[in-house]
Amino acid sequence: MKTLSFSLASLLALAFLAASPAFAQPAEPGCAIPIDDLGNFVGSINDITGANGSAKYGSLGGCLDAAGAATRIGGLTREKQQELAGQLVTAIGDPELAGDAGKASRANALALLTELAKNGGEPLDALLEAAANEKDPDLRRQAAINLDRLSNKMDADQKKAAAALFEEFFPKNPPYDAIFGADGKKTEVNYVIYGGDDTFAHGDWESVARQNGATVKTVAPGRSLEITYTVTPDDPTGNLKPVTWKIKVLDEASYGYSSLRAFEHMNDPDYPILAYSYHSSYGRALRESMENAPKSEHLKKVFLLGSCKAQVFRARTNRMYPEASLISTIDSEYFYDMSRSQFAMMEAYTNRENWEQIQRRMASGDSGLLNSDNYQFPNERRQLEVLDADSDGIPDSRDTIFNTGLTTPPEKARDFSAREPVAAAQCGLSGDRLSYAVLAANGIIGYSSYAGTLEGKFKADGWGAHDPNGPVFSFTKQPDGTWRVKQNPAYSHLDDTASVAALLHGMTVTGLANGGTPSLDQQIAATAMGAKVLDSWSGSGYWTEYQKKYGIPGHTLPMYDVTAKIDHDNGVTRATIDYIKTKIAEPG
Amino acid sequence: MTSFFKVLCLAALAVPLMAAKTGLTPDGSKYLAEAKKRITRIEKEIDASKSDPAKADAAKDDLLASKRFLDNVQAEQPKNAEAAALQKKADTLLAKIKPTLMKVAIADRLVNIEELVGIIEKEIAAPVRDAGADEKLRDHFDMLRQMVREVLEKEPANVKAVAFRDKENALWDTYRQQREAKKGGTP
Repeated sequence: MKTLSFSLASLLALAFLAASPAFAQPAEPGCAIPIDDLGNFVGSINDITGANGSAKYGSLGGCLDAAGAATRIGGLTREKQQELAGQLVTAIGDPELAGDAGKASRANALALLTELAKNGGEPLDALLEAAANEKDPDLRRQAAINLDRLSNKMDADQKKAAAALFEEFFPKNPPYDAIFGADGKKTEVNYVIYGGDDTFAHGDWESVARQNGATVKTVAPGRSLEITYTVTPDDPTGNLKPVTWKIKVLDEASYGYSSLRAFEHMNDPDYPILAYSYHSSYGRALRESMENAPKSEHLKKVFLLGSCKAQVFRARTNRMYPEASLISTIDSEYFYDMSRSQFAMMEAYTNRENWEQIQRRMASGDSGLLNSDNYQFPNERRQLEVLDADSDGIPDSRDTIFNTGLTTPPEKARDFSAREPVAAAQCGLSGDRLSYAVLAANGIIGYSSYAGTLEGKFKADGWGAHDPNGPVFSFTKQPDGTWRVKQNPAYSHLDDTASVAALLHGMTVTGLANGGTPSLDQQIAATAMGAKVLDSWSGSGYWTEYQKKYGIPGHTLPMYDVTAKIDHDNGVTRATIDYIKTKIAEPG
Repeated sequence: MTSFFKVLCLAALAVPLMAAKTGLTPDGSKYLAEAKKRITRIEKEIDASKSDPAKADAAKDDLLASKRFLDNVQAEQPKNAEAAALQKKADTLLAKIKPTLMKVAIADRLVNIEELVGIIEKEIAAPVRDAGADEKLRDHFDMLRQMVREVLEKEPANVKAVAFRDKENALWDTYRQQREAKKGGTP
């Protein structure tokens, strides 16, 4: 009787609580702590975020200042941190925050949980639980990355759970179910490689194919090839069967990048492996292919971005096709190497090798590479330095919040003047062009003998404060010698070409003068550096406006005079600067 | 006939017996046995492999395959001492043949460089070059520069590579003079 009365009381209490919208309860037992006093909880959230909000959970769905929140969380007692972590798990599970409507609140809650979990213990369990329960792939991935950063605070069980989550998005194995079918028994697989004239002139595809015992047929368009290559697996168990690879090496880019459609088969399950093997053009080569790319139908694929320094393409390709396993080059990639490495990779796929084993092959010279670490594989953490999944302009390696619903600022080509942004920058504007520009400019500056040591020293850091009178980019030096780059929202309209040219100028003066006042030589080098990309990307139409903002003070020069002595070998050099000096010294 | 049948039976029993002894699955036992066989053979032939590029290349393939087989064993038994020791041995052997493989890679690259220099010479000598051909020529210069640089990073005193670097500079000077003559246009 006693038990019955207790149960009745409990049921009555539960019914009361369920009927009251102010009292959110944990959906399942675990790390969740009931929010008995919503007003108190909202007060705590607002204290942490430093903001107010009229929604059920106050400012939880607003624009979160991660750094400020981290500082304020650090000032809370351990008990309060634990309580908040448990209550955040409860809030995340609230049906009112489910789906897209509650995505921003859940994203912020996961970021706050990450801050709370930095000392390990129960808040870390709370973050693990929230991550495991999260259904949205963007937020689940963000939580997996956040957890991965905290692995040094984890016990063995926590590490195991976090590793399983991380592997969902950064798999250890190629997508063999997509390549060989769910039962793994498919023995004929298509592989398309998009190339151009140099792919055939220097790639040795025909002779490499014949050396490997493959048959080769010439097909259209241009010099395209169809290769049939049968690989017998090296497998002492005898479980694996030989695989016949049907490879098409397409001569598409010979007709210009505008006719290239490198992503045309991304929604076709009959083409599980694809590659781009032609010039990078300093990061502009896939512009039209991306503009014409079909919307993702979420198929698993392997896509090899095989031009020079192709990591510049990785963030955008990943955002378009998040389920694709991307391989990208870090440095120069030669046509000679690409054919050899692809035959080695087909052998590896036939053996069902994991990414680590394939990477080991490449590092051991299987691709004929002198540079033994030129491919970045889908399982690697270092890719987070170049990915920006939410396009907020901050690389995934440092981002804890997945920003939702960002607006892409409309482009205004050849316009370097300040403009009013179309939305509030923080949590409102996409910083995709900043992420791209930093990667492209880092690569381009690397070719210069005068400023090449600056390659890799600059990292995107999202939007800065809106200032119509301020510079386009601001730079903050870090203790490790790198520079964080913030973009002024007054220049959110800059397109890729203008962004990269302006950033090259800024990186050169800032890096060479170490943040101080640049010398005349350094100013000339900076002007020339931006001019180089305008020259390479057919951007002569930008020159007049570029020069107004980034020219050599007191001098107006034709673009040809600035670019004439940019060396093929070493980009902007001492000779470039000396030559431009002679031009500015000329009368008139 | 009886003895042949016995041999067959013993062979068929060998793997399950080894599996029982090591605690590995039959597949795990096959991986371990094959890796051991290949690594032992390569260890015996290592001096010959160091002086013969073809043998070095074959040894590299076998060592990488052996390491993969051992990965499978270690996935079954993370603390398998024999697999760990064989992994270490395979790494040591790979390091021993690496200089031979590097020499081959450099020799191959020098062949590629020579081909590319020939292409650039033809492109520069062409009486007419449109914008597309000029862009391609510059791409070829970019490739050449990187390839020569890569070889010189590995072997700074490589005589052929140094000669190709000088050749590249001379070709570039010719190209620049052609550009200068046209004042930014393409010859």
